[in-house]
Amino acid sequence: MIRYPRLLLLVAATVGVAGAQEKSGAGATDGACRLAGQPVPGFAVKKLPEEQFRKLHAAVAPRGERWTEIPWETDLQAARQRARRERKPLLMWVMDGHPLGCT
Amino acid sequence: MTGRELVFSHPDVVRLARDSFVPYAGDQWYLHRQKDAPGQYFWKVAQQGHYKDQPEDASRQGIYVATPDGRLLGSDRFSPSPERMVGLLRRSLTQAKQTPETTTVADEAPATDARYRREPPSGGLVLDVFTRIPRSDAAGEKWTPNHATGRDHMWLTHSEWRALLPASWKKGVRVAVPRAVAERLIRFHLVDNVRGEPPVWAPGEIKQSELTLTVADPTAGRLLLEGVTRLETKGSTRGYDARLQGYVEYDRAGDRIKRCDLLTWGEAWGSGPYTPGAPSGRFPLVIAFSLAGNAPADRVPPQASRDLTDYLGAGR
Repeated sequence: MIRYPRLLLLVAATVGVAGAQEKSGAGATDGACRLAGQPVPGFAVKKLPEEQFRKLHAAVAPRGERWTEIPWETDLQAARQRARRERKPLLMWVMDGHPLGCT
Repeated sequence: MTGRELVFSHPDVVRLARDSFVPYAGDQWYLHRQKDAPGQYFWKVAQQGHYKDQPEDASRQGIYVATPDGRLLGSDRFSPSPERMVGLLRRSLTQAKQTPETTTVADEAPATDARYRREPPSGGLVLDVFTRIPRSDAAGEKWTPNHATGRDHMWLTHSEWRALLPASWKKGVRVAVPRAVAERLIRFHLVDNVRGEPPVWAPGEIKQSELTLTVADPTAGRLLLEGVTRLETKGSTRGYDARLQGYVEYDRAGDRIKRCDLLTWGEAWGSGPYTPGAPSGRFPLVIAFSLAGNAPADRVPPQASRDLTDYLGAGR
């Protein structure tokens, strides 16, 4: 079910056309992209050596995000009780979709 | 993701939210519907806020600051501006000092509206799911939502994860991945949620799905998951061709899963109605799964579990 000329992309990459493609999108899908320094395989790669798997898997998870320093509550009743105990106002971040999840 | 990365990661916002408030994050889809104490509280606060004049069925999403008994101290629609957030928080603190304290919040947990209760399955597994669009090495690229990290959780029930274990721990023994697990993984979690809430895949949009689970190391209790899936909407407006690889490790002495690391890589294309702005053409999409921790944020339900019957029942 090949819907695009993979061979053409490969040829294009070898003559420098892939650079232009990277500017318009996320980059070529021929393995030229990286995530936290780790090379990302294209769909043509069926299996990763375990060491490469481990490094790429670790690279996907975010590290050191500052919003995680905020002690978010996800139970509104528990948050109200904590606000009363600590005598603080309740800050509610409420979105369509969970703000700490898929939003 | 814009809120997490542009607003609630700003040092002034982090400091204020952490030190001067009790911060809560929630999905208004649930709060707006549930007929119980949290739902009533949210509605009371929201109907004093920035969307109070909107029709009842319209979204009330945004930022609210309130006393524990529901008096509004400040509110605003969400804006990707940390300066605007700092202004709101400071004005709300000033308002709080002028508001007499008459809090009456029951200590006991109130009855909750069971239709909208979402708790991780007892004895089950909760997996973190992170999604990224890898970038080229081009330097100086301005941040866009495609740089964000998509986040979600995947739930497996106790019986589902136990069904992943082989009857015999011999190298090479194959285990049939339960259809419900495979379909949940593919339909609800192999999605491009980097820019927000994406559509999930309909069963008919799974064009190919091959998953094998094999005993790789009996001594270590290690299983190897390998597979390929091709997902495509009618008209090919969206799709994802993905390889899957993962390692599941079972601690026989403790009767628990101690590792569940999955990775998918491949090529996606297209945007969802609420997630415009995907890279043009085919683009790389990488998704990683691993065991979640025990923080409150780890209890955030899977986005697709709004329809819990479809989520847990998919494939059955």
